[in-house]
This record gives sequence, C-alpha cells and structure tokens, in this order.
Amino acid sequence: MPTQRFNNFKLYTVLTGILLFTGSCSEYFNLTPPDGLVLDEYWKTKEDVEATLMGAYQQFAKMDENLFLYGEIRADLIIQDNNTPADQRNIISGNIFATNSLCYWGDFYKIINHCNNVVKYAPEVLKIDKTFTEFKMEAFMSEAIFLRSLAYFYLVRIFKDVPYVLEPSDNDNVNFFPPKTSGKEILSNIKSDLKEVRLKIPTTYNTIEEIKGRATQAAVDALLADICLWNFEYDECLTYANNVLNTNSYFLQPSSKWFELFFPGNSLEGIFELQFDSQNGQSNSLYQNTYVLNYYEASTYAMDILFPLLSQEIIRGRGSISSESKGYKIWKYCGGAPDQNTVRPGSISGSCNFIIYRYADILLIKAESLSQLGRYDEALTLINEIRRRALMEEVNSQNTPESFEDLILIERAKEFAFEGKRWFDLLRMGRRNNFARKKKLIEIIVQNVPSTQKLVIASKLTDPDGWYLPVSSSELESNPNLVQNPFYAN
Amino acid sequence: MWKNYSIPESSGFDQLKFFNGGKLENKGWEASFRYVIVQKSNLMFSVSFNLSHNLNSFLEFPDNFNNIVGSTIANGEYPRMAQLGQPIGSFYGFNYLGVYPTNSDAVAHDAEGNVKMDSNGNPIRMTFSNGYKFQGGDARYADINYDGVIDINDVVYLGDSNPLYTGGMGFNTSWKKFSLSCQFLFRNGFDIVNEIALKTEGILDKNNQGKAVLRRWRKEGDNEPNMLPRAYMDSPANNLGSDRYVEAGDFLRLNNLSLEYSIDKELAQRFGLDMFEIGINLRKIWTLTNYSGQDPEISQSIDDPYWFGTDNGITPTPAVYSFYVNVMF
Amino acid sequence: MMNEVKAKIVGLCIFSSLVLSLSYSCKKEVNNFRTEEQFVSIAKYISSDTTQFNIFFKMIKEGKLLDALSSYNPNGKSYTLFLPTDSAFYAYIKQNNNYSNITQLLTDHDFINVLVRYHVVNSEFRTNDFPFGALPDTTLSGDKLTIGFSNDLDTTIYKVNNVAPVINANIEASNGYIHIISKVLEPIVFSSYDLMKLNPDYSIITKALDTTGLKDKMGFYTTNDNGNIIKNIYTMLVEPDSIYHKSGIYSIEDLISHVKPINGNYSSEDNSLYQFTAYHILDGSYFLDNFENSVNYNTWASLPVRVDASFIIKINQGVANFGTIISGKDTSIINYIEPNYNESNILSKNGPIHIISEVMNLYKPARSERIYEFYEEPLIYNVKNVVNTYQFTMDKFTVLTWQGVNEIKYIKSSSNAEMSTNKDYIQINGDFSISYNISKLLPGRYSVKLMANAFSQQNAIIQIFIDDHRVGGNVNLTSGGTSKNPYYEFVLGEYEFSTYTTHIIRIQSLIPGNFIWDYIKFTPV
Repeated sequence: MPTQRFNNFKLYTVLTGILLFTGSCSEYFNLTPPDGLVLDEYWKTKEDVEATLMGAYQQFAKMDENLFLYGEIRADLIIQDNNTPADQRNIISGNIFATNSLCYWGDFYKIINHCNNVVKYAPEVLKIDKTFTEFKMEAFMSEAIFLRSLAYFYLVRIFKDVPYVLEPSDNDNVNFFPPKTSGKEILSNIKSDLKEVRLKIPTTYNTIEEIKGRATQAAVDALLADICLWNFEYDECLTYANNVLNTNSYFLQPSSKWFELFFPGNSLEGIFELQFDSQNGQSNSLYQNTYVLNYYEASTYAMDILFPLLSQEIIRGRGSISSESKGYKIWKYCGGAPDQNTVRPGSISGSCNFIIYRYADILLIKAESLSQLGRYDEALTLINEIRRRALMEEVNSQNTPESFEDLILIERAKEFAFEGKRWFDLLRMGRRNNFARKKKLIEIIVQNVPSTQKLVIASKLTDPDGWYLPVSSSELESNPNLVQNPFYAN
Repeated sequence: MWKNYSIPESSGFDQLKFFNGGKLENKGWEASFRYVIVQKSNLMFSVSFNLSHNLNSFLEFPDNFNNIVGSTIANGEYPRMAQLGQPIGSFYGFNYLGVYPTNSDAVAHDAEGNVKMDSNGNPIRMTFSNGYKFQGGDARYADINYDGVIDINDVVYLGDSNPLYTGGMGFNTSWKKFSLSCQFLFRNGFDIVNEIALKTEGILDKNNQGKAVLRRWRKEGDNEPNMLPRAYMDSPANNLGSDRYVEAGDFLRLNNLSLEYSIDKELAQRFGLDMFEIGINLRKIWTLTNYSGQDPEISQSIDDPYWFGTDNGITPTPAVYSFYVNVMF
Repeated sequence: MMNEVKAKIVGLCIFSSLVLSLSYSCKKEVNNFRTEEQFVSIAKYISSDTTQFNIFFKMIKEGKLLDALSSYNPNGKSYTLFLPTDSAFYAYIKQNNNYSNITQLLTDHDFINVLVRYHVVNSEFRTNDFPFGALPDTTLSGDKLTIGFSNDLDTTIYKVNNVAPVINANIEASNGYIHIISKVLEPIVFSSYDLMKLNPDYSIITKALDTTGLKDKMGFYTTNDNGNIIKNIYTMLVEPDSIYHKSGIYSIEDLISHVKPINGNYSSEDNSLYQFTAYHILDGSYFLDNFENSVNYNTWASLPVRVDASFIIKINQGVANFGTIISGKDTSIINYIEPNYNESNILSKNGPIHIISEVMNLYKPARSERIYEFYEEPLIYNVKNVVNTYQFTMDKFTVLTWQGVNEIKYIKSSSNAEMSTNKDYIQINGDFSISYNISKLLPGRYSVKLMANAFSQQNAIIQIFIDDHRVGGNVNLTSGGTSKNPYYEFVLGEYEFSTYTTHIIRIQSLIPGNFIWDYIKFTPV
C-alpha cells in the first residue's frame, strides 16, 4: 500500500511539474497576425528606406488641391463658382466650423509619420544592408527632415499650434494622444533641423524630375528663408536667400517663356515642385477642379490686377486667368499656352506640377527682408527685376516699410496668383510688428466678400486667432489632450 | 479587444485594426458535487449538482472612448453601447409602454405627468428624432428626459444576455440489472431579444407577419390591452429596439434521460456474446421556460464587445429519442 | 444502515435546498442605467445655475414657458435664448420706474408673458451666424432682434438690440443655443416717431416731422390701397442735431430757410420742407445688412435714395463733396453720406432707424437696375428667409392678385441645385392671369427682363402687360433653360416709364400651364 501511494505521489508530482513548466512558456501565445507585414521584417534594405521616403513625397503630391486651398481660399484672389463644394463655400463666406473637412490635418500627419519612420529606421538599415552607405543614409534622412519640416511649416501657418510628433506610430505603446505644441517652438525646432541637414542633402540628382521634385540644398535654403521671413528674422532670411542666389543654378525664366513654368514645368526657375505626370498615372486634382468642375473663378481684384485688358499685364495676365468665353478660370493648371484659350492636351491635362518654391519667390522674399531692414534701393532693384521680366514698367515708391510692403504684396499677388501663397502673405503682413497693420488685412479681405457679409467678416477677423482654422471636431473627440483654438472654442 | 478603433489623425493613421485598450473583468465561482446516497450490492443511487456564477463587467475604457457614437436607433435596431460597470452582452433600448389610442394622447408630459404646452399654449406633440410626429396607433415609448423627443437620450439599460447562474443536476441510479441516469441543465437570470417576434410583429414592411398582428390598433379610440401598433408601411418608429421584445430566457431542461438493461452474463454467453445491453436514450425532451420563442439556449459570441443575445430562429438542436443495443463479442 | 441512508438523504436535501435558495434569491438588480445626455435642455441649464439665473427662471415659470424650453421646438428648428443674468434684472428694476422690486415685476403677468418670449428666437443662431442687422427669424413674441458688432482691439463684442452685450456665447443645449447677456431686453413699444420725440438730440428732425404733419402717418398701422389695415413698416435715416449744427442749422426756422419752400403750407406734398423731411423715410424695413449695392430705395418723397453697399455703405454717392481722407498714400474723397455703424439699426415697431453722417438733401440719383421679387408682399417678405413651401389664397395678399386659379405657391428652397435668385420663386399653374403691383421706379427707358423656369413641357406660354400695354411677344416657357439651370432670362423689350409711380405688371397665360416666376428686372438703357 505505501509503495502504491508513493508511486501515485511520484506520478502526481511529475504531472504537475510538467504542467507548470509548459505553462510558463509564453511563446505558445505569441502569434503574429496572419495578414500584414510585421515591423522587423520590413526595414532591411536601402530600397525600403527610399520607398518610405517616396511615400512621403507621394502623400504631399496627393495634397495639391489642399495646399492650393489653404493658401487661396480665405484670400482675395478667388471667388466661388457654381459647383464649389459646400465646405469650401462656408469658409469663403466666413462660416468656419470645426466640422469643416478642411480642418482635417490627417494628410499632413501621414507625411510626418512616413518621415519619422525614415529618420528612425534608416540608421537601423545601415547596420543590416552593406550596400547602404552612410552618405546615402544621411541624404535620405535629410530629405525626410525637409519634408517633415515643410509639413509642419504648413501646419503652423494654418492652425497655429499643433501636436509636434517626432516618433513614428509603429507600435501600440506610442503615445497616440499628444497635446499641442506652440507654433513658435515648432518653427524654432524645424529651423535647427533644417540647418543641420543643409549640408548633408544632395545639391542635384540625375533626372530633371528628381532635381525639381526631390529636396535639394536650394530647397532647404528656400524653406529656411521662408520660415525666417515668417518669424520676421530678416538678416537670417537674407543669408538663406543669398545661398540660393549664389548657387547660380536657378534663373528667372525669360519673359516669353514665363508660362513654361507651368507648361511643361520643371523649368530653370523651379526650386521645389510637386511632380505630376498623367501619362504615368500620376494626375493632379487641380486640373479637374479649376477647369472642368467649375469650383473657382478669379475674383474682381484678381481681374483688376491681372486680366490683360484691365491691367496691361500681358505676360502674367495671359498666363493666369482664362478668357471670358472660358469663364475667367485659373489658367496656370489647365492652360496649354499663355493665350487664355488653348487648354492642355487631354493626355497631359493633369500633369501640371504644383510649384512650392521658385526663384522669383526667393527674390521677392529677399526684397521683403531688405525693405524691412531699410535697404530700400536694393529691394527696389529686385522688385523691378521681377517686373521687367513681366514686361511691366518699373516702379518707384516712398522709402517707408509700409509702402514697400504694399508694393511687394501686390507684386506677389500678380506673380504668384493661385499658387497657394496669397493668404500666407496677407497673414505675414497682418502679424508684422505685433499686428500693426491688422486693419489693412481686414480691408483687403473684406473687399472680396458680398456686401451683406462685409461687416460680419470684418468683426470676425479682429481677433487674430480667427485667422487660423479650428482643430477638426473629430480630432478633438479622439484626442482628449487637445484643446480647441480659443476663437472657435464656443 | 476593439476592432477598427479610431485614433487621432496626428498619429498618421485614423484607425487601428486591433486595439487592446480598456479593462474587462470576469469574476465568479463554480461549485460542483457528487454524492453517493446509497451504495449497496444491487442498489446504487447518486446525485450530482454543479453551479457556476460569473459576472463580467467593463472596468475601464480607453482614453478617448465614446460610447454614444455609432449607436443608431432605428426600427429593429438595438443601439450598440458599452457602459462602465456593465457586462459584455448587456443591451440597451427603449422602454415600450403600449400604443397611443388617439392623436391627442400622443403629447409630451413632464415629470409630474402634466401635459406640456408650447409657447402659444398648445400641447407639444411627441416626436421621433427625425421629426416625425407620433399619432394615434403608434408605439408609445417612455420619454425618459421629458423633452418631447424620442431619441438616443431615452435609451435605457434593458437587460443582460449573460446568465446569472448556469448549472446542472442529475442523478444516477442502478438496481440489479437496470440503470437509469438523468441530467438536467438550467440557466437563469438572463434575457433574450426575441428577433423572431421583432420581425413578424413589426407590421412595417412586406414580410409575412405572425397571427399576433390580428390584434392591432385599427382606428382612433381603440384601446384593447396588449394590442399591437397600427399597420404602417415604413413607419419611422413603431418597431424600435425596446423591451417589447425582451424576454427572460431562464430555463430548466431535461437534457438526458437514459434507461439501460444489462442482460445476465450467462444468458448472453448462451448467444455467444460476452455482453449484451439494451437501452433507450432520450435527449432534450422537456423544457420548462417562460420564453415564448423556440429555444432559449442561445449561443454566445466572444469577439464583439457589443454583442448581446438574440434569438434569430436558428434551427435548434433537436430532441433525440434513440434506442440502442450494445454487444461485445 | 437505513438511518445512515436517511441521514445522508436529509443532509443532501438540506444542502441542495440551501444552494437552490441561494441561486434564486439573488435576483439581478434591474438597473435603469441610461446613457448620459450630451447636452441638457435650455430650461435645465437655467435651473441648474442657481447663482446667476434665479430671476429669469422664475419668469419662465410665471410666463408658462418652462414646458417649451425643456422640449424641442414644435414650431421651428430650435431655440436661441438670450439669457439675462440676475444682476441685469436688478439694473433693470433700478432704471425702470414702473416696478420697485422683482416681486412686483413678477406679478405683472401680461408683461412677463411678453418679456420672456421676447428673449427667445424661434431658430438656432450661433455667433458665427449673427448678421449685422436683424436676426432672420422672429422671437416667440413675433418681434425681431438686432445684433450690433463692436470691435474692441482683438475681440468682437456682440450687442443685442445695440444695448445688451453678450458676455458668454454659444452655450449648446439639446434644444438650441444660449447666449448670456448682461442687460434685459425691453420689448419695443415705440414707433419711430415716438423714439425721435423721446430723444432730445433729434429735436430738429422731430420738429420737422411735427410741422409737416408727417408724424400722423408714422403710427403703428396704416391703410393700404385696398383699404386693408396693415402694419406700417418704414426705415428712417436721421441726422442728430449736432450734424445740423455743422451746417449752420440750429432750429426749425434755420431748416426752413435751408430748404427754401415756396409757401408756408408745410403739410402739402409739393412743399419742399415736406419733401425734405419725407425724403428721410424709406418704404420697407432695411437693416444695415439688408442694403444692397447700387439700388435706389423709394422714400415717402418724390425721389428715391441711392445706396451703394460695397465695403462701406454709401448713400447718395456724388451728391456733394464733404471732405477728403488721407491714409497712407491713398487719398479718398468723401462724396457720400454714411450711416453711423455703432449707433444705427435702432429698432422701433415700424422698422429700423439709422443715424447718418451728413445732412441729407434731396438728390436725384442715377437710375438703378430694379429687380422685383415679390418682397413688397408682406406675407412673402416675412417668410423669405425660412425654407419651406407656402400655399396662399388670394384674400391675404395685397400686392399680388390673380384670377383663374385658387391659390399660388411661394417656395423658398435651400438646395444647391436650386438656381433661382435667392433660391425662391412663386408658382402658379393653370389658365391664369396674375397681376403684380411693383413699387415706384424713376422714369426713363428700361429694358424689361423676365426670369422664369423655361425647361419643362408643362410650362405655359404667356403674355406680359405693363400698365395694360403689351410688352414683348409671346413668351414660350417650355424652352430656353437647360437641365442644369432651368431658369432663363427672357428679354421682353424696352419700355418707357414717364412718371415716378407704381406700375402693374400683368401676366396672362395664352396656353395654360405651369409658371414658375423668379423675378422681373428693369435695366436702365
């Protein structure tokens, strides 16, 4: 009997022992989901890094219509047409609610996420892929930092304060609910990022599409100049503007070839353009929206300053606004020739690049900084260079910062009409010197608005917080750490 | 535990395919015993009993959980919600109070039961959230917040699909060559949504309806007890997810009854067999329940936090009567 | 043995009954747990804040508005409540001599009924929707409230009726929005003349109204051409005495010598004092945001006032040179009269009063294009902003009359696909004859254009008569529009008006059918 019991005892201990040991192996419970690529299987070669980087460029390209809208819809160069979507009509008439689709910033953050991925994992790939040189890795990371900084520059100008996300969303433990960081801080951070990568980024590439479509040192300098101008740091701005001038790789297009900036694009003057090629299936959205679907029309002010019959702007007018028979449409994205009538051929209708920076922009940025620093003659020379190229008479102006500001504002409106810059130019003027010229901004905007709305919109623009868009309501709901822009808080 | 969970766009994504957030708690106990009452040479009697009790509840939700978004109230729909402290399997809906006999009965009342008047002194008509004004013959739901509108704010907790106690009992007895065993199953403390009734008594579309619709409201002034709302094609609110279709599913079921006779060894060997047994086995032959549908034994789903128990009329397991013979050579 | 078994059986029974009783006694608690409401009703919001809104809550109960404010709005979309604080009421009592304390105020049932309803508008408005003028919908008492804006450095302050500042806006409730105001809104009981009379700063213009007898025509009601009694609606443009002083006019005698009448019969319509004074009264109700660009507005005198409302409202531009402004390198000439934005939009029972910046003399403006969209008809004017389909029978109309059919419809749409001007039109169907009495326009030659739906085969073929003279040929309404825009502007021809008076447009169906009429337009040639 005792042996029997002892045998039983042995049996039971062995059994429980086996159970305990097997229970502790948690490997049995680590299952990978059957579909989907797992993180550690992806980042293996330099092609993977480049693919993610290209994903960021492509996501930027998808946003061409939005980049256009953010820079034009609240300004005075376009008005709504028959088919303008309701959300856009609401913004034009000043009824901006947090439910508006333009308050959705997800597309920018997709770009930022791709770039964050590149920055985090390119060094990892360097260790694995022997064909990946450190030089190339730094180049890719610099491009990613340029795109990320450009995305944040847009976000700060549109929303003022936004979450500053630097980590890619690659696992469940990432903080998905970041609060806002002040725009000032974000800009100062991206400036230092850009200054650091200036020298690591290529100055040129093999194909023309890459030279104009990928980030180059000149693109970084252009962005730095723009950021410094936004921050009113004029001397620093001049440094970067001069960097671009000194490369001697960018020139103003000759007057007769001004329209080549847009058709076919990738001209001598372009510094950074979002690339499109309908023949390869990469069409932009702006052709459809400006030409086919009748979303926008040139405003009275745009007509006054650009339409050839009213303004004598032969070069720029003929290339910017279509004829009456075509409906005064925005011509840069659908025109085939600077004659206000010939449309782009069907096979390449959606191929017009969206220009983010071009040489003329750098010249006028430089002129703006010079005039604010009191160097009026130099500024005037640059302004007149642009005007000469447009076959317009040279101008003169009183030597005060305000006069020059007005002059440059008009010149920029004529040169960069519909290129997504006007609203940001106006905001710069409104913010300068602690909102000294806020009234002028209100005056300009209100002229473009129907009479019953004028007084209402003027009141809405008195609070500078109202110059920015609200955070979208769905984003506020899903992120409890976000607070709404105080102008829209009620 | 959540699928396709929304996260802020600042992450670069708008949804997570799978998100493990929040906390769910399961606690309970189980008891079982078996007791041999009589053990003699030719008589044995034992009983067994088991009982389990389990409560689960949501302890925590992820930071940005919104339990109202995604809930729809429409005919035939129970709003999908999850509440802290309530279990998976709980369901929510309206409180059904019968039928309005006349148009003038379909007016809003305040907490004391007085009719509410608008700014011109006219009674405020009850409406549904899409603007439809209730009329005589329409279904009457409780206006929990007394605002004159039947909408998501009038949704209340209706019941729980999780049984409070599940268990079984049975006995086993043998006397000489006969043996008899019997097994009961019971579940109590849970509710079922009778989807069959919902589909056959709604009278708002072209599907076949049950006989119950013969006792529906037909004209102003009709006020029979338990009458159904009026027949109204595409009615906006006469068949909302409410406690009209919620029934207690408690049941006691005789799951297994078998009687067996084992023939004498000597007798069997005469036929050249080592063993000869015959018996009858009856399964699922008797159920005691108040549930009016086909079968209250509903299956439970485990991958959906918004699941609740509905009876869709899936063919239940049948009652089986079998006769068997066991031989051994 | 048997005892053992019995004992076992007894033990078993006790045990099982214990377990069973345990299981059946724990009934599940019926939990009437319900979803938390996202927003409370307006009434609940008021009652829940006992520090600030006690008095108004008592008033709601007294005025029998508690039920309405705790439910949805059965007569409109939602409510907008302008909620005065308790301190606003104390200030009101002090200022107002009729009541010595709150309790006494609460006993005046009739007044409380009107007062609480005067604070609730029958639609929902957020501050984003505030117009610079009257809110498009009326209060529950049938009156209109106006919003004024004052810009203070970086923020905008909204003022209801130009007296009550909004201190906390856009509080969302389940049945509307609440804006908290720091003053009580007083229901309007005065006519425009009464308001002028009560204010000593407007003594000169008031004296002019007295002397010319115009004050008798400025009451609450008037009789129209058909003999019906209708509300007397007009807009006033007035100059304060200080403006008159600037032109050297210090009394009514100075004013008389300024206008140089032929004789002393000031109440005659030909008299220039009468004309001068009547020129300050406009037909119809126009708040500052209702003025359109380049439109002549008819007055009670024999000439209209011209308003150009682009960025700034310019009245009678070109009438005289009042001065220049230099800003930066822009020099602009002021040759128009402007309303004083901060002090205009003053409400009276008749309509708004606007304060103007210069003495307004008679001026014959250039002819402007006139579009007639039936807004002279009060029934249509009252609903022109509220989306709906309206069916009217003729007994209620004054300006439109018709024969051949029983009723016409006025439709105001909100859909983007609706291509009519202001998304509204009238519709008449059958073998009809419809007459439209249009208001005065300056004499001269005009091109007449008719905008109507011209895309359906069901449409009629019509003939148009102005003052019984045939204009244009037969207009075939079955063709002309497109599927995207069914409206077509038919150019009927030219017509010459010889006097400044009203006219009758009569449209008759030659071939019966549907007639959807957007407007009739007169463009000066």
